[in-house]
Amino acid sequence: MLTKRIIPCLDIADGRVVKGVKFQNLKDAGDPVELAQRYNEDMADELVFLDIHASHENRGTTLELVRRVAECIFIPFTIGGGVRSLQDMDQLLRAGADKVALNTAAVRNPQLVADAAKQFGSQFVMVSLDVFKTDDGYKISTTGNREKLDVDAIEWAQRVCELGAGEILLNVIDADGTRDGFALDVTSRIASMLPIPVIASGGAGCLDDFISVFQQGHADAALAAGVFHYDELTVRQVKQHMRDKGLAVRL
Amino acid sequence: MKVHVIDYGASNLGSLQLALQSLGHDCELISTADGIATADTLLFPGVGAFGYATSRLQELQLRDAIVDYAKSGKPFLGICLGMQLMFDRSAEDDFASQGLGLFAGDIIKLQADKIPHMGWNNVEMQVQDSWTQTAESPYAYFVHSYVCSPKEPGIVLATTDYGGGFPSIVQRDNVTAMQFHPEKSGRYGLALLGQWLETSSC
Repeated sequence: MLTKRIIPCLDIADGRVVKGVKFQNLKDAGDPVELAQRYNEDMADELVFLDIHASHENRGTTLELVRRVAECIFIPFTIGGGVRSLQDMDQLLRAGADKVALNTAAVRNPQLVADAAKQFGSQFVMVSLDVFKTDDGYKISTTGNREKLDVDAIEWAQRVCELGAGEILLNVIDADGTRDGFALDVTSRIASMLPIPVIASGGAGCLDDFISVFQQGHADAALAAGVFHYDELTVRQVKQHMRDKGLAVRL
Repeated sequence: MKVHVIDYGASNLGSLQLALQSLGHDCELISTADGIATADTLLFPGVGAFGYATSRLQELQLRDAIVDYAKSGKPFLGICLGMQLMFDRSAEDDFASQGLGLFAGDIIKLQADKIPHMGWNNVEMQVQDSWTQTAESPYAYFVHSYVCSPKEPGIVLATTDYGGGFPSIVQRDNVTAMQFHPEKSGRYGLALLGQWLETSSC
């Protein structure tokens, strides 16, 4: 049966992996290709690279990174961060990325999701949502959580799906970096509602978090950064735990 | 070994080329009938819609060349949409256009809650002692909404379960097809691709 996917996420700045907490005190954490290979060996199902300083100026560095990764790992990988146009997406896909992730650009211009799905195919278009909890339900934020909008997260997820997104990456800001577990309530609501896969993101801290995200969260995949980068857990350990608990997993 | 890959404008071939290169093979893209006729080992990839693909094959006048190649006995591998095009017709375009008819049967829509079937799934061998045996864990990466429904059960080498079992690898003589993307299926995919190339060439 279809397995639940474990997806490490690497933040990239100027072609290097960086570690930091909420974009503060960024430290160089190595060569993306080396780390990609390491995660690949460790049975990662996919990888996501987020270009945190993405701009027109450094697009070349990112494309070079994409090419190098595509040459040596043969599992799907997604590139996001500052993807603003069909041209950006075309360049990244041609360089070897399997999927591109849109966030702020999709909020500013929802038609871009539909255009991308039409031009490249839905399966290449991941839409990333940064969401946070309010008294009035979950809302979305953009530009690296700098702009909080009064847009309902559930409605936006629904809209994005209708526009043709192939997959949703649901990053719950409140949970991000806390190690307190994924946000099961909103993840479950969105994952149960949509006919496209939902990748849960934000909050992974312990092995059992990778069980509840699937059992109660109903996610199709789980993304994590800190727990893997800081060597608190390995992908293999997570998967072995999932297998022990009866979840379908590629091992 | 020189491997030819049909380029008919229906997918980004980068990953497949890189995978073949990493296996130590030269890879050349071809998009003409003459090119197909001169190939010794031919791959037929594809991503996207059946109807669009058949019209592209028509425009490039490749249909007859591909069918002739398949009859030649030389190794021929279809991947994803390429596999589907080897059959008769597809529900994706309401059975309007015609595939290559190398395998009898149509392409039908998957019956499952989430479509497409996207992610890693188990490739369950139905045949013993086949070239498909590898040392790797047999999980492959799938992205598709349609599956083949062969009229000849004997061609099915492996099945995968999603909304019921469906053929994930089929083969008759020199013509093989995989529903998943071996070039995106990590070590298992590369091992399988490598083994197909090795056993096909002798």
